[in-house]
Amino acid sequence: MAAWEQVLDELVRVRGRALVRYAALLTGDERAGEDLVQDALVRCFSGGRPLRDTVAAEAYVRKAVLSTFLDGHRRRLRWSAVRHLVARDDEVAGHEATSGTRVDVRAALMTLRPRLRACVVLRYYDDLTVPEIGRRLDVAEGTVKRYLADATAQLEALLGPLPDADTVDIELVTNGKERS
Amino acid sequence: MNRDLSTALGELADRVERSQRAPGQELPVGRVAARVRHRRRIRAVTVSVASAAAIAVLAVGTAYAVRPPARPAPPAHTPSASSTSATPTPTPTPTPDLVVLPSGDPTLPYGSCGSLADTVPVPAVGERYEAQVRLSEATAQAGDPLAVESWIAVADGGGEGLLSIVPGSGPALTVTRDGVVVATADLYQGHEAEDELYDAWWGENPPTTYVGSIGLTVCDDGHGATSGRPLPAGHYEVRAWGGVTSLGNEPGETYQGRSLDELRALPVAEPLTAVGPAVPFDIVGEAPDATVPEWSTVPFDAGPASPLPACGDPAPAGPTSPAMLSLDLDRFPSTAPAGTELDVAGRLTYAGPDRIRAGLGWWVEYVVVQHGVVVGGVWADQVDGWVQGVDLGRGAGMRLESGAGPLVGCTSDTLPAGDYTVIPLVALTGWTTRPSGTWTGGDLVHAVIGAPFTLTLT
Repeated sequence: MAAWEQVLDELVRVRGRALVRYAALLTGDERAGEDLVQDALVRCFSGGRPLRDTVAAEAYVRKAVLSTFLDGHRRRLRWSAVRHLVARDDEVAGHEATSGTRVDVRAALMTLRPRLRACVVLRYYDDLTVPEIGRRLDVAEGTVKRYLADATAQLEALLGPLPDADTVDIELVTNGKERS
Repeated sequence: MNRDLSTALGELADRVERSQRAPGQELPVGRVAARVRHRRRIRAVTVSVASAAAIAVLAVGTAYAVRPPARPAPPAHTPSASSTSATPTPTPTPTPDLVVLPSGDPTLPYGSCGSLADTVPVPAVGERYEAQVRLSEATAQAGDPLAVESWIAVADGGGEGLLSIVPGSGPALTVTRDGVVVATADLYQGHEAEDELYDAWWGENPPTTYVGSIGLTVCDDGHGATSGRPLPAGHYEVRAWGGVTSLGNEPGETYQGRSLDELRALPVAEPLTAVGPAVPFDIVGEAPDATVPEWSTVPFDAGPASPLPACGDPAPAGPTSPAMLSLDLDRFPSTAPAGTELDVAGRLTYAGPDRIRAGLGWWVEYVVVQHGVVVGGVWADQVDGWVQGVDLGRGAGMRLESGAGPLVGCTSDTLPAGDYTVIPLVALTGWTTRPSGTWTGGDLVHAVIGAPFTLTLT
């Protein structure tokens, strides 16, 4: 087995679920998230960059997930995700009480434009600072703040008040560790 | 609802993880590894071939990397007192008003002017290959060019990576009448284009489609045919064919870092001829002269980038012509039921120099706009095989239709009844002018935007 295959195998085995969790928040759909991760893995491991350890590989794949999503890929799946959510209402009806609200959050996320959605996921799921989000998305900090403000306003219109959304304008301090 | 967004996102992610833990829901690492191996192999071969081409350019000091054509060239003319004629076409002394067609010579190689359509090709026919040609019209006016689309496909999809060397200028085309080749053409009009590797991958990697026009003029058989005159009215057939080299399904690592000539010299390399079915058409009317497509040298204009629009975006301005490509619809609805697929069709045309090789979406896609904002639409599924390689000549029109799926709204499954503006588009992922390769660009996904039309959803 080639070195890259060993890294790929370990990355998928150990961190595959975390990557799909992350991607599914962007796509709004588990299956689409899996597809997005697979595409990102293929993109990263097919390139000329040597990926010799899983930590570096995961960081690289996470960036590829984000860029692949923002490049406009999976647009159709985004549309499909909306339809899927509508069809899934009955399915979640029997789950625990919070399941319905989870679907609400996901449906609300789907109404956001891709960059706004990415900002929300990076800020409220990955717990990144505004400057770091700006670096990840290659936009100015002011743009990130505007994206977050627009996104949270749009989400609050659908979900009601979101208390932690007020932290946008505060200079956030991160522990540098991304959520799993 | 009053709750913490971070917590809600975490719950969403947890739900994803729980669903993944179900049996059979793990990421298919084997499939991912297979896709990676496939791309690494092709990337390595492509890089090595590109490097070889670059060296060739430096060596000859020209902008073109010229190589001998892969197709068998017509043999030198050998005077023959009595060529066998499959068609007893009279060959009197030509007069200005008389069109003399090639008489037919069974000794001529397959595909050459004056050869017979049923001549056995050399090298032998590759049973896994199909050279295809498609006509947009079954009737052509005498003297006018014939619009064609042609490609060399692998009949069974290629399995796990059938690697082949195919003509970079696409299939050659022959026009026959009564079983004799009376006109020959290629869409590069004799401009040399480097042969290319083609990797058929479970049918997911469609072959490049060559689009253009060929002149319907009598070819030169060296036996008195009135070369260059318009083909007269009558019933004809057009065929595509080309020389290919099969490198097999398991090229493996040994194929990396080799030039095309080195690949052709490998023991596994098998020279073959790709042939396909004849497509009938008729020429009607008369014409004193023929119009032959001209090789364009107009300046190239990449134009402004037009990103693919998304939900909530302002209505994209259009029409646009990135890379001198434009989309013109000739069929679209004025009313449609909500939630259905719109029936649209049109042509993508190129107005630039040389020819252009581009990655295009399979279908005419569209977004729906209301009050200046994108509120719905349809886009093709952007996965492997989502784009097809298209090689267009100036003025050539690539026929595209809808087919990407039903029209859906941004926030609901269907858009409410009402009046909307529909903006058609074709996704474009990259281009290069050929054969010179002088202009390249478009690494990201762009949109070729057509003229909007109004739609009432019922």
